[in-house]
Amino acid sequence: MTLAAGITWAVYVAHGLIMPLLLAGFIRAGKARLQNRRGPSVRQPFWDLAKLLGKGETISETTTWVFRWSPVIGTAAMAPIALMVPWLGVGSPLPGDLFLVVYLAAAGKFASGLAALDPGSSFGAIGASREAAVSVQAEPALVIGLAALAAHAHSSSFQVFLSPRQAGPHLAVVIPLVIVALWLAVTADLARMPVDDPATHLELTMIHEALVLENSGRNLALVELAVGLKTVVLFGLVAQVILIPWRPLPDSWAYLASMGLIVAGGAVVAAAESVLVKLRWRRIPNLLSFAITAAALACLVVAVKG
Amino acid sequence: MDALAIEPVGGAVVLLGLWMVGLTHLHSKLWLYGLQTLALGLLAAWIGVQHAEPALIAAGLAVASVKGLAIPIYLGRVIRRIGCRRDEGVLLGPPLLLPATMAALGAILLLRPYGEEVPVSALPAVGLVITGMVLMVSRRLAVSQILGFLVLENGVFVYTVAQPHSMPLLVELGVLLDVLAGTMLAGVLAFRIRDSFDHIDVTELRHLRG
Repeated sequence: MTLAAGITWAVYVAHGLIMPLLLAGFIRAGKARLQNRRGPSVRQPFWDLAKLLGKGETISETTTWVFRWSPVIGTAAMAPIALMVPWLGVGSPLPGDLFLVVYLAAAGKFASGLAALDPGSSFGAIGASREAAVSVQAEPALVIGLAALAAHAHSSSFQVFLSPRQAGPHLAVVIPLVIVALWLAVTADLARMPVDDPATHLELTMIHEALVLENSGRNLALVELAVGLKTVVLFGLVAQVILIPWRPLPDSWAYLASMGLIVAGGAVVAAAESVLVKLRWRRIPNLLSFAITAAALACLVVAVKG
Repeated sequence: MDALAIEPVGGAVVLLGLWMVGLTHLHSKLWLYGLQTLALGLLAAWIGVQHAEPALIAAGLAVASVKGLAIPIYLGRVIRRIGCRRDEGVLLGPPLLLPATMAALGAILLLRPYGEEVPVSALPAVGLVITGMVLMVSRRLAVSQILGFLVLENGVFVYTVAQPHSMPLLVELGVLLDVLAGTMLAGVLAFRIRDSFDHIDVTELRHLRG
């Protein structure tokens, strides 16, 4: 391994461990500030994680190994994704393929759905079914939107299509469409507003929180780490799409811009969660059909213009 | 023809039309229509400035002010007075209709079944006519069907703008007057339908009343 590759590995691993918690803390602090509360410090998720890791677990007697291992599988699916997607703006340590990444994330989701069904509690099952319903609608937007960029660059490798060698003029149409599609799909996939309110603990309306209701202790810590990692990686992915028109960038600028955009994404999420109301469950397809249509339009433009 | 201005504005306008297909909220649909028409009128005026054609400038500004501002304000008052807010559509709900319309537009763009006689710069016109038709047949309330008709008419306007020699000013203004009168009449008609049937849901208009 060369020195440069070693540095990339170290940078990605360090950011993958720190950024999820920092971003979660930032969103929480931003929300508190917008609601005129003082709120916890940005570092609070670190203490929360430490507390969860030190706690014992309460596990229902009816559960099997599925419940035990699903957070591990979820985290193990997220870790390679965080190494394959160049979400920090500089080349990622592992070569990444768009379909592999999207469906690895889906595998993690599948594991968490199974784990929610395993204890046999009704809320977990509701959460699992809702989360599956939302991700079924968010996934086409994610895949088709990224596939539009991949088709433009004639490669499904993130390293190639996120910094295309020659940018056609129609990329000015494709990229805004892809950004809209990705942002809607990402917020839905992460169970953020306006699809799901992470602050709600009303059993009848919550989606993601119902899914992890039974997890405690180290299990919950792993789940939160995986969700946080997914948040920063997906925000970073959107940031890379936004940065495409400015490529090629020097590494330092690309890194700073990606960080800035990830934090901006957190700020947008915090603002949305303070201002918007949650969408009614039956209106979610309405919102996500816009994402799918925007992604398909981007594909169409690429197909017509080459 | 300067395709430089027509392509982005035409694309944006068709996007706005598609967006309208996916919406259920009447007021937001109305404002999208206003934005669309304003963009079209200003595009026509801009092309007129570029080619030094005062007729096109006048027609563009007239379209922008009458169809882009006056008609949305009028229809907004109609909607407020009738008191309807949402239109969930018939047969296909907007979540399914939106990708379906998009697929139809894509098929037309890729296959071009009408041959080569329609120039590329007129493709936004074809897109708008189709979205307008979709809006007209898929909606439940009389007011949103008026909106669909107006979008269709916008498509015709784009087509005339995209021609190398656009329509004479007189024809353009005549069409504008017709559309204005038609919209006014349709708005009044919507009131009358509401008065005699207590709603403006066209799917319920199957039975005769004495």
